[in-house]
Amino acid sequence: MRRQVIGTLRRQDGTVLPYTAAALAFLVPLAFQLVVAATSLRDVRKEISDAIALSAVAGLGEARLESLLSGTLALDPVAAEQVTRQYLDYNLSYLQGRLAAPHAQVVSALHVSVLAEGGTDPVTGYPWPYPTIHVAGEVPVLVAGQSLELGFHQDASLRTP
Amino acid sequence: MCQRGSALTELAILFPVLWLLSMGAVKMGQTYHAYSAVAEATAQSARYAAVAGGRDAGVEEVSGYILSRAGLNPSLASLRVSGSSSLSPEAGVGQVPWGAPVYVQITYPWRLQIAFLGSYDLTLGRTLAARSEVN
Repeated sequence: MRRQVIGTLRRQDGTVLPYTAAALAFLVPLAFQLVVAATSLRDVRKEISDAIALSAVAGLGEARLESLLSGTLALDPVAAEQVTRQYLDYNLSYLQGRLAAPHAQVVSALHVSVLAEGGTDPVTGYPWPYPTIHVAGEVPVLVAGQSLELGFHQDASLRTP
Repeated sequence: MCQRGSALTELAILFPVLWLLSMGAVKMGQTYHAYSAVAEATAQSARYAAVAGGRDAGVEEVSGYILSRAGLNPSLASLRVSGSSSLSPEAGVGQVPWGAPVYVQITYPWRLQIAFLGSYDLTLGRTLAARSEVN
């Protein structure tokens, strides 16, 4: 009985290496891929958020002239949306390689809300006390060869001290 | 005794593979970290360039500060600020008029070096457009 057990153990010794090698050959690259994918996902999210935020700020330049003269701030909704989309187009074009769709298509799918004098955001329901541009939407991105949809919400408000 | 010998052999065979994978992960992490710093420096520099209306000593200062905080050498970075999307040095570096786009690009040379696998020269770069806010 004792000899049998020892014999089994010895036979198992020889199989440890192939099992370990097979497990590692599968698990380690998988873990490595997951780390790369997670980091890449974080990077692309940050890049797109920055691009959207900068574009929303660009749209804030379109204030209504009469509102500036009267001392109350308000945005020109049509011009502000147009400028925001124009800058979204510039900035997302530099990220074309990381998007899973043409950047022009991504820009047109993004929802740009211009709250000329503040008010309730139609997307989030948030009550903005100041003139605000809010950009929201899903952006298809490529991470580790896979297409994923990431949700974004970025806003910029116009205020004076 | 016999088991100890086989464990040692297994370790000897697997160690180089594990070492390569571990070092690869570390080097990839360092590369991502450097790229994140370049991306952040570009975003902050673009915002600064918009407020300054183009190239200004402050733009270089902002990018240099962010890169050096991430452990990168700002003198190796190439910063381009232009009123044209071509970002060519001749395209005009001076004042960008109000409402016009200011393009900011930062590139950084990076060497990805992994023992036994060699080294790869990469260029980490990011470009953003902001709107000039200066008359």
